[in-house]
Amino acid sequence: MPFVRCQQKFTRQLFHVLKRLFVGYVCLNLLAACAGAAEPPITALAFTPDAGAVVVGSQAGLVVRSWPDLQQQRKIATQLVNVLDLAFSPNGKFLAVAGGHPAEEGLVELFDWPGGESIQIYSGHRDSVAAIVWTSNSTFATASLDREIILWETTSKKPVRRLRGHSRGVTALCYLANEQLLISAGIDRNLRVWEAASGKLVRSLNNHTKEVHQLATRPRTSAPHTSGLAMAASVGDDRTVRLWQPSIGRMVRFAQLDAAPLAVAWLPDGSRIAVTTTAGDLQLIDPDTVEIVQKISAVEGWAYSLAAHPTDGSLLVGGQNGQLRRIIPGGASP
Amino acid sequence: MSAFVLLMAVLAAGGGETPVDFDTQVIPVFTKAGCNTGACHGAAVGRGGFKLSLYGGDPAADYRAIVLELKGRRINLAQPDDSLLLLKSTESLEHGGGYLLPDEGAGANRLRRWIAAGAERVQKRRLVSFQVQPKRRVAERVGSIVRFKATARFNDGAVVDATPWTVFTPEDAAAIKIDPETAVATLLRRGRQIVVARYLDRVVPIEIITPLADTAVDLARQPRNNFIDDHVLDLLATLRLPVSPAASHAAFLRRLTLDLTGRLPSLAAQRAYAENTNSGKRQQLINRLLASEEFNEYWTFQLAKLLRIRSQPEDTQGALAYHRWLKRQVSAATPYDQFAREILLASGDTHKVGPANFYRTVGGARKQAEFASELFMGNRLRCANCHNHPLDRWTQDDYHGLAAMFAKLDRGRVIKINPRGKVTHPRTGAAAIPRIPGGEFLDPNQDGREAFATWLTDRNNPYFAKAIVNRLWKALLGRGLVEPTDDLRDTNPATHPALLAALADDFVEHRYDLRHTLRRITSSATYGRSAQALPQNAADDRYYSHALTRPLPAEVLADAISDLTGVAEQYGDQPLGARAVALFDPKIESESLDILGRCARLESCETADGAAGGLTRKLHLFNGPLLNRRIADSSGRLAKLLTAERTPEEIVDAFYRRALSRPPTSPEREFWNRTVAGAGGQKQQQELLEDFLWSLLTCRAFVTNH
Repeated sequence: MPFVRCQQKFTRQLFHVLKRLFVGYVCLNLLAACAGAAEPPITALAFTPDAGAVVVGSQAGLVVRSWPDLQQQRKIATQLVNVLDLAFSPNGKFLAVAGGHPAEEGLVELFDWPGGESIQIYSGHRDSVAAIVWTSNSTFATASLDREIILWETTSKKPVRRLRGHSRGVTALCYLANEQLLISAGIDRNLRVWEAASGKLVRSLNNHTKEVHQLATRPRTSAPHTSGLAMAASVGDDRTVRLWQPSIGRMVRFAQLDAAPLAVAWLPDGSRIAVTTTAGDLQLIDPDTVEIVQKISAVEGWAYSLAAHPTDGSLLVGGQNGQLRRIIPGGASP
Repeated sequence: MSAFVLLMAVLAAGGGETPVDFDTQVIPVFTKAGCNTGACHGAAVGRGGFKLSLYGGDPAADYRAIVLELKGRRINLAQPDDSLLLLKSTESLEHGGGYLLPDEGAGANRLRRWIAAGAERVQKRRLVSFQVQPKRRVAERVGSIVRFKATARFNDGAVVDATPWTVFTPEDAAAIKIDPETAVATLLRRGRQIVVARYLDRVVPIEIITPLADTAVDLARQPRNNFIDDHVLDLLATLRLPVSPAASHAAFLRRLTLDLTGRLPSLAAQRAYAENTNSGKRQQLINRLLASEEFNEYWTFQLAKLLRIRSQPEDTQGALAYHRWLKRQVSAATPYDQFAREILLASGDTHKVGPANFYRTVGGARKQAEFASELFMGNRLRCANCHNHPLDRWTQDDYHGLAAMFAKLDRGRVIKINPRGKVTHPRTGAAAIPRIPGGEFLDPNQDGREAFATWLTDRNNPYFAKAIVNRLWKALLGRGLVEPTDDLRDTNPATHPALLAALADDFVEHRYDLRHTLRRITSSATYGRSAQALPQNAADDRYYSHALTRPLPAEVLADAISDLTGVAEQYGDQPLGARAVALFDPKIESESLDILGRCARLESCETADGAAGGLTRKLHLFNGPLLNRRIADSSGRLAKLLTAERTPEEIVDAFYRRALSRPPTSPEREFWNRTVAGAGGQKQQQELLEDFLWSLLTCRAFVTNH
């Protein structure tokens, strides 16, 4: 059976390559026909290490766009059918692309940067990889809808360790560098805190009442409000944004929204939490008061992905139908 | 091949072909393939992490699950053929549900075309009608073929042959086999069968009848006392079922007296009835019993079970007030619509305002909505709690809307308005808006009960009258025209739909008078038919070719045992001699009633009752002190007859008349004379008579109404 499935997969991938060429040909010749069709949703965003461009991931593959004008610079071919997360290594030398073939295989494809050459495929999950986080320049962790988290070393194609504890798919992952703790969350509504080195489950936090979509850690800066215990934000289908101190297992406070938040990011100075929602909004939340300080209509439909530019204070929102929009908080969208 | 299909899809998308509509064209693909059934992704928690609404009842939620959730993982807009939705349903990927759609079949191609066009939900049209032909068919014999054709009409004017996307499901798969591809049914068994046709949110019942005999029966000369007999005999003629003759006067007297008063006919009543030579004496008896105090007492008991009147913990005053109020309504013949309004609109101190206890019967606003809908509408709105009702019109908005109305009540000892009361709608996560079931939304700041009661008791309400006349029918005939009686819906049709409608109309026309409908039913020849089945109709349990034998309710049986043995039962702290049917609270202590299986009224009491109970109950009844103590009681009827030096034959005759409303037959008399004559002495004779009484108390003829 595995051989048959492998053979089927190869045949299908070969067929897809031919089909993409074919569809491209058809589209070129039938512009009118293709004009009305929807584009795949933008499901992953990552600013390049030099902050001069952004990598955009979707079912259509990887596209590098210039910043801030979002012009397409180049496409990067990937073997992943679905792209669900992107992450640059801390030293900026690698881009890890997470996703895979739904219900079949979870993959991470590693590219060198800025070259964009595929240098490795990591295969170990039985379903799509929904989230990826680097834990050092040579190690990373992946969370998958197959309910597992895997710790990897870039130098090996084999998993270092599998973390099992979630009862359903894992959709979110973040890393507290100082504490060396991994935080995961997913469809089982639980946040789970793990020792990154040993893979030991430290605790489970179960305040969310519906599935959790994403996690983000508060950046540490010289500002006093980012000192103290590390803080993470989670967003879930229960329409809440929850703030946590995972190292002590405390939920600090939460904000209730009028639509389910899908993606979360901190502004680089740690002063605000940005979330995007199923209503297509971008909302900015004061982490100390959990007040919604700004709400901006960003895209039509669901806003799946969000990234904060490291330096210029703007945010990028990706959504349904290939929508991509740059927003400057506190000001008008350019 | 796939590429070709894709090309055609692209060409179609730009070539003016109508785009595939998610709500009306994609959903039926899932329903036809069985993806959204309760056993698959339509389950309350979904399956394999993928949840669809049951039978596509919530297209918006389905669209979200299929297209939007988990970053759109189930749809691949860049490579439609790679969509998980297609890969799973065609089993290109391992699928727990198996192979559902042929890769190049109509279903898969429709999904493919929809995805290739952008997998959008434009809601371009709405279904306005759905019809199936034939709706009723009388087939001549087993093996006959019936072809179904379904037609759907949409609000954009389109009329389509919906047969390929309609699911035809027989209620009894062993009776009818239906080819899902051709919608052709083959009849495998005689009788009346129901097939449910489902398309989008519509379900239509189809009635298929195969006569139960090869030769026709002539029912033209059967008595037809009123419209009930016309309807019943028409169906019996179609089924070719002969009818049993009319019950004897004695059997009719016992049956009617038990049904209307919950008591055995007294010896005096038997004598009077036997001596009455008037041709209309059955009608006279009906009128006399309906006017009796015993009727008031017994039908207060019947309605108290329906209303589930029972005491609250540490509080019997409310139940007592409720019961007294109910007795007054029955005695005063309060029209049933007025009765329902008084209950629904009640408020105040439950110790003083009897009907206000309606709001203390069940816990919480949702339970109240379920109870109210089952009680007054004969509908199970509760099925619409987690999802739109799969077999009826009720939506979650209806269920939570009715619950929101009742949530505005503070339901402590004093029933009063609580303006802040609310229930959360599970789909929206917000407070549900009060709503008339199937009707308009109400002002959430107002007490909506008046609007609900007005809608409910409107003469054109399709549920209210049918629900109660169906229950009255069951109380008298042993089986509702619709079963269960709290599950009236199109897909659970009445055995005699026109009769149910006629009874309801008649009830409304006669000012919702319960006595009128009871009189109408008991006056029919159908009610008066013998319980003795003929060989040709012995298997009939629902078409009324003969009367059904019914177990006596526990309380009625308890009273009958007391009456027959002459030894009263002590019920809790009630005065000795209190009748079981007069007790206001099912919690009043009584081992006898517990053994006999009284309903605790915590849930609906509309299931099998009394002597139909399990083995344990039977063993207690046969061997326990309930009977034996009272048979041998020195103050009992048997002891008194023996003391009065009545002959064994006289004693046997007296007990037969009291228990069965008739003297023993000649063989019975001869048997008992022979048995008692063989006794060695007075003590042995007494023991034999005790055994005789025991056998009478436990025989089927005594513990049933027939």
